[in-house]
Amino acid sequence: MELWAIVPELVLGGAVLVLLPLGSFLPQGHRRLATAVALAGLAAAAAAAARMLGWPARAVFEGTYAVDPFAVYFKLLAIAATALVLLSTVSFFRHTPREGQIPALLVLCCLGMVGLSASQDLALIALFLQLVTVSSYVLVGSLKTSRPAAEGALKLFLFSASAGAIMIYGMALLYGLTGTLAVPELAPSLARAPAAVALIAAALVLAGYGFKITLVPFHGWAPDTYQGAATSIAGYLAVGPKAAALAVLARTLFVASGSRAWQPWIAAIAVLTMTAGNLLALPQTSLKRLLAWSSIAQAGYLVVGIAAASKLGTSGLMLYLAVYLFMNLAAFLAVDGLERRYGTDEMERLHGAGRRAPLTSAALALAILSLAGVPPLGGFVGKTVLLGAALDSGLLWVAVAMAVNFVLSLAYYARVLEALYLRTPQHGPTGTLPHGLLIALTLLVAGTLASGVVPQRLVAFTAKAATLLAGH
Amino acid sequence: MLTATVFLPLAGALVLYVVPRDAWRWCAWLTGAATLVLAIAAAARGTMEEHARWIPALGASYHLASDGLSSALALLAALLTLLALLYASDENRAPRELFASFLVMETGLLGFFFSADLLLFYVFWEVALVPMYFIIGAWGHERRKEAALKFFLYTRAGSLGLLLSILALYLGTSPRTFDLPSIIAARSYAGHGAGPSLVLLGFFVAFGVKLPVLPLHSWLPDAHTEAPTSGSVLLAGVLLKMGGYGFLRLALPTLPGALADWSAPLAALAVVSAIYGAAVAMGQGDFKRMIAFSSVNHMGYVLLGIACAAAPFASAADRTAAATGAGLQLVAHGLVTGALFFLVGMLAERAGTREIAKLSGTWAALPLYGSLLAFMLFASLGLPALAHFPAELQIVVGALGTYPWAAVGMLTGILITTAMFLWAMQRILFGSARASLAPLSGRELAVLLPLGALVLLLGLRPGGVTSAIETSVRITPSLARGR
Repeated sequence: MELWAIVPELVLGGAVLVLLPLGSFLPQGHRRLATAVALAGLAAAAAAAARMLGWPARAVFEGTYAVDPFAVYFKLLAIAATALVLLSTVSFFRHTPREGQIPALLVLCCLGMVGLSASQDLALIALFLQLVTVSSYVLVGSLKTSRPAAEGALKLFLFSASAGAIMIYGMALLYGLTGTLAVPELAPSLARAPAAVALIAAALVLAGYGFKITLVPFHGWAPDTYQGAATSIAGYLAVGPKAAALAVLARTLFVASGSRAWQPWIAAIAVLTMTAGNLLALPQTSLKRLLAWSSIAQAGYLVVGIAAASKLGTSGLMLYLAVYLFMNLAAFLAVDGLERRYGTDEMERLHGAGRRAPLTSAALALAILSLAGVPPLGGFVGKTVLLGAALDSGLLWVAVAMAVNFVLSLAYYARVLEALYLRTPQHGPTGTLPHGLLIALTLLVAGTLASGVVPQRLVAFTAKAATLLAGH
Repeated sequence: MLTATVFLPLAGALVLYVVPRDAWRWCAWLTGAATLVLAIAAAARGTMEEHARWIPALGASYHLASDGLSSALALLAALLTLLALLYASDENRAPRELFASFLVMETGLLGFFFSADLLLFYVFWEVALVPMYFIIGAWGHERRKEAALKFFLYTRAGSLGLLLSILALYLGTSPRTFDLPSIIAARSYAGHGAGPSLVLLGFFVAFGVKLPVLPLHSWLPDAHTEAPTSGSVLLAGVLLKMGGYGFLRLALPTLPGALADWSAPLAALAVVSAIYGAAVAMGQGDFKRMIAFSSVNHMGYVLLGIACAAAPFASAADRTAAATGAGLQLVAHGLVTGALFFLVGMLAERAGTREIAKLSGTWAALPLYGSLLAFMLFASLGLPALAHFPAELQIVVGALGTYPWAAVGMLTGILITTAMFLWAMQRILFGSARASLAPLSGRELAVLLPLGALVLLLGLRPGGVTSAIETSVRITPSLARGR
């Protein structure tokens, strides 16, 4: 047994086993213990994963599970996102029975994402994807009494059930064509298979991944689900599962396919996704829905890193995902903070928040500017590398489409800034922010700034890890 | 030293948030003044370079450099920021945020003029943009929100053209680097053909929006008119200069072939833009809009100078004259139009209107103000011995040697500007005297007099600045030949 390779997964699994009973039976007043146990588990898993960063690339468990810097990097991203969301979301569920259960669900979802980052076996991928889906379905539905939450959870469930079924059908086709579920062994057999059937199978599998990444046309669930969920949970869905699914998409495409025939298709989907996301973000009046559509657009930018099919593209994808975690989660958590103090996320009611709630507004403004790609924030560095990767791979039209989309997105990002800073305040905020949210928000804002001003180590590491991903 | 000059304003902006309310003004003034002193000291030291590691994995480094052209524009930025801070110091709507915006923008501008690494260049380019959005949007006049959004969208659209072109230069240089001197030396896009032309298109969109040149100018009148006075001063005085500086510093040395191919259309566009700007300015009833459109006219000459400097058959002397004239025109326009926006703001504050028709009799009511306004308007229309004259003269000389028809067009533009400003003077300064207006305060004079002195100095003794700019824009024969 090569258990040494899955220490982070074992730690997370152990934490889930402890948390599931613990969270349900802890009496009120002691439920914070669950959060503490979850945070400790996440920290231990992160420490274990960080030790693996320098390990040489290899595959364990008969080639089904990769141990390489690419996988470890995504594991760390998943753990970081989970810990930050956990910090900020528990106070939202304080004094409800959910307070004890949310940590368990988050860690369970994290386990799924960590597994996805390294899987190179179709059955494992399907398994971990379902783990992520099921736990996020419960997380969205946690606001039991809220109708939008119920609608969001139901939409997520129906979409994910059909996307999952389609994906598994595609995987079955692939198995029928090649006689194997191991991703690295697909390529030689696929080359001999009838091209049309192989294409259909690939497209069906892509539907399953695309659902999690919110690629057009599998994105329809996201805005309603995000709006219904608690805002920090929505931020989690927009960051965590998306990153894990992108990792698995990149790995599947690079490892399983000998040719680059998929490149124009992926590029087209990327452009379609960013354009649709930006266009539909324009008319939104609710900040959560605006961020939901913006996250769809951002997914389009991210996929450009895969479409480039190059070392620069893969490092751009990794780099931008880290930055995206910082800035998008910061945006969602800042909206969460405003929502808790104003009781709404409608931009109209948040006019002049820049003066009434200066710190939260400043965090939101910074995150928005970074999402818009304004230097010297992290979003700029990530977008620049992705643009460069598109140009480098000869995808001039994709680069131009990206640039046009950046301008398009500015129209609604500027509306957020306008509501915060250029409008006269009408309503005042009430109450203060919980400490957990403040800590998470501070860390994320610091990350957004640092990844823009001093990005050298991140850039250097992603460049190295991208080289090591098999297939290059 | 360059680093200190660039980041001192940012530090000052941060300090604003820890000092008590009474000290805000002084803190802002002191920062502005200290930055100006540093900029003067840096200019006096001549050329300088500073180098540090930044993102080695991407071939980007922290590389600042100064020469005559960048020092002249940095001085302009530091001076106008200080004067804007002085002028804006009685602002009572969130004064601290306004001061901080000016200072952050100053960091962006100085960094932009001193950058010798393209990624850094782009970062500072954008850092200067965001504060301006807030200055227009939060402290502007009635239609400020639309104007701010329009400004933001136009400039950002331009920025992305710049980013794409910078990336093309980066990817086309081997080994990949953002270092400007290395890119110029590598000459990967110095030739002719579609590739360099596309890169030029990106630069044209970015710098053409900033400059601005027809048909990319339509953000300008709204932004200038709706911005608060001190914002308009910096917008016209320094932000527009970024476009001209970009052409001179980036486009001319990296894309000599493509610029040569396109120099005739660019010269034609420049002339059309200049004449259009002058003609539309003449038709304006709003004094501030008139000054705003006159910028389109003056910046058209800058583009003409650049086009002539790149013309394929130009002699070395014509090239130098045209490029130097363009650089000088940037400085002159910054001083003159900066002063004019201050003057418009002072008058509008007193009279409660910017309608030229309602401003008659100003000279009788405010003799000193009237004299200063007349002086600056004469400077703006290119009167000899004042700042614009040596600049426009050199551009005309360069144009006569390359595209004589453009020189004729430029003279037509100057003629229209002359008529426009004389007519405006006639309506504003003379006519029936109106109710008495408060005379200029000491602070207002402190803002105007340095500008007046510099306009006169640059007109009478342009030698020092001219030779400083000339050495930085001189185009070596090998660079001009293309490949």
